[in-house]
Amino acid sequence: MSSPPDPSTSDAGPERIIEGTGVAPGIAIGALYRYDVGPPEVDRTPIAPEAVEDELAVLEDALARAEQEIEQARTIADRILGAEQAAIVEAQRMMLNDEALLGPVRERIRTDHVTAGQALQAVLRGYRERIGESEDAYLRDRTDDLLEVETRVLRALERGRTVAQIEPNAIVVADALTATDLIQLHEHGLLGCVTTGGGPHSHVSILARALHIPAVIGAEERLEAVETHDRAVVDGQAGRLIVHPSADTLEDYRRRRARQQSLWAEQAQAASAPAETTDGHSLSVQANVEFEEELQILKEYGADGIGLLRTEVLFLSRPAGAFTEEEQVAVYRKAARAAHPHAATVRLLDLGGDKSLSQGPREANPSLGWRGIRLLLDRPDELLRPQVRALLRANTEGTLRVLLPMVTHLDEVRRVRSMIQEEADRLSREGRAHDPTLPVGAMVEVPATALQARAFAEEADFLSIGTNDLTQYVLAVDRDNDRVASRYDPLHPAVLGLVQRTAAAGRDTGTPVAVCGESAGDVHAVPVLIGLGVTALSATPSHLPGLKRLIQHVSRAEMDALATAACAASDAQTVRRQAREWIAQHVDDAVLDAPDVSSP
Amino acid sequence: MIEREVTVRNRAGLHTRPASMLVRTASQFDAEIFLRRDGYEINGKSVIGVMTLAAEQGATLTLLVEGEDEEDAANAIADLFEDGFGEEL
Repeated sequence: MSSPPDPSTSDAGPERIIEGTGVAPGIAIGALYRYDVGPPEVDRTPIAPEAVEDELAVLEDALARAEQEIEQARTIADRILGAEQAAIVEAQRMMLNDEALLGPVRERIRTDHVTAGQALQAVLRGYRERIGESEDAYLRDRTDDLLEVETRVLRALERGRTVAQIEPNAIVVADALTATDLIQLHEHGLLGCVTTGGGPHSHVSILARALHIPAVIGAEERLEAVETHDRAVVDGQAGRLIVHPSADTLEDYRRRRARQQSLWAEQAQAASAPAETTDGHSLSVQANVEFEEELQILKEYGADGIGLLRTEVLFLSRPAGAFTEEEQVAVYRKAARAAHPHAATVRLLDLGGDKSLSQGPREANPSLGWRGIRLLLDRPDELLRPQVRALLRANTEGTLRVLLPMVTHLDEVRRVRSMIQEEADRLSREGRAHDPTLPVGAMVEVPATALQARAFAEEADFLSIGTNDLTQYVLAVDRDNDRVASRYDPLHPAVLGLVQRTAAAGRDTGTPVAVCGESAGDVHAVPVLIGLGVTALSATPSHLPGLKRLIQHVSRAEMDALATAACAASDAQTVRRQAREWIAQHVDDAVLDAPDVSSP
Repeated sequence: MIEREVTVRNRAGLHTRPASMLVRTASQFDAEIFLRRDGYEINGKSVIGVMTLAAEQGATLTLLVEGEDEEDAANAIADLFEDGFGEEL
């Protein structure tokens, strides 16, 4: 393969902009490489008899990749897996390990000397035909599920072969990428990536941010038309792929890339320093973590520990019942080590509402239903007890804290405390290593809890305000409902009033109060929240350097004044305007230019 | 060795979801488990196998179980069929 054309000279093609969603900021300038856009192709060249073992190894590699992709599909679905979909994904995973498939495929490779892809296609076609003979139309359609498995493995086979061909300094264009793909491509010098599929919270997006690889997802439009070796720019902040950039565009992006790189250097500097305001007020800037992969990148982002380790994906990404006490101990230990010398706050499984294990009857009002701590306490032996035991055991490895989701009644905190005591005693009797000092915190997301903040602050060891749910409950708005979503805003004075009340209760009782909702990463909300008196912010790791940088450039006194004005405002729009003006007045543009601070 | 007749009761038939339920249940037992339909016999621990039975509502299958825990295995699987795999009957 020839070397990529020099991207510094613009070619004849007209500049084209393909829009998507930016998931990892940064600018990449290079040559495109198409990584499997379109249906996979099957290699039909017969293999040499002595290449049989290699081909079997190729098959194993592809099966492992396909399994990883399926794993990813489970988590990408934003944790809302309907029973049917979850079961189909699970069935696909079972098919990849099914001897009824693998036995005959291996046999064909060995005796017929065909490629893994050809063998797989032949075997699955036989099965598809069999199902296709059914007189039942619904069952006949199930051949689609087999076809999907076939496509996944064929694609994985194709990728295993093409990854080695990627030129250094390539911008990869693909339907979707797995974490394995990204790591291997990174080793081959990948500059940026653009995919049609994928989710902002997928493992790949997280990994791309961690590796500083500019990435754009959801670029549906015209991606089919781009070709390998086309010159291009990826703008991972704006979520844009620019093919055949004009000389002016290129010049502009070169400047931005240079600025970006110096910003990253400054951010790294800010991240390693404490989050202290200009008037000497210290804040704790912690990380929200959802995937195990994120634990490896906390140090780099300067996290003061983990403010929220969500455990739903850890559970839902495994087959039912597979996240056993032992497995949990291993993950929580890893979290404790990653957070050291700070604490790792683990939230108990928050099922129900928008995330469900898809069991039990459908509820008319899931967000007012059987979710969070309610569900856990009603079935204590199923999920709560093993999770509490795992936390106590992993607690020997560092400092863990436990956070209770969807708390409404004081009694819920007390009951979890007594279970912790019970299990600590039991572990002692069993002679198992554990540390019974496990601080208990309550999520403040139900308005009742914020209204009773003083009592909760006395009962709990710490409080964490979940502004996403609190806002939904206070304003009676479902932010996933397009018709009302514009009425949702965590900066609504009514929400801020409850934040203030909670922070005041924390101050009076010496109880730390954190905010762990998305507003903790919103550059306009942060000065208001700090002014209201919260002592910690917990946000997506990639937001942390920007947050620290912001805090290091402003004073607590100025933020107090902003918060006072915000609470007195009549509506959210007014608060937004006040916050914008405040930022413009108090914060230098260069500070805000931090590419990782989200701004809605 | 236990041999038993089971009938597909749920409306949608033995499609992907019930097939994976069946295999998950079957795999919990040491016993060998087979399902036969009109002379076509498949391993009850293979999703693809179960799917290729293409067993629609009302189809009758022969369940063959052999091993130490055959009694429990046969009962667990027969219960799934009886219950229509938790789906609409």
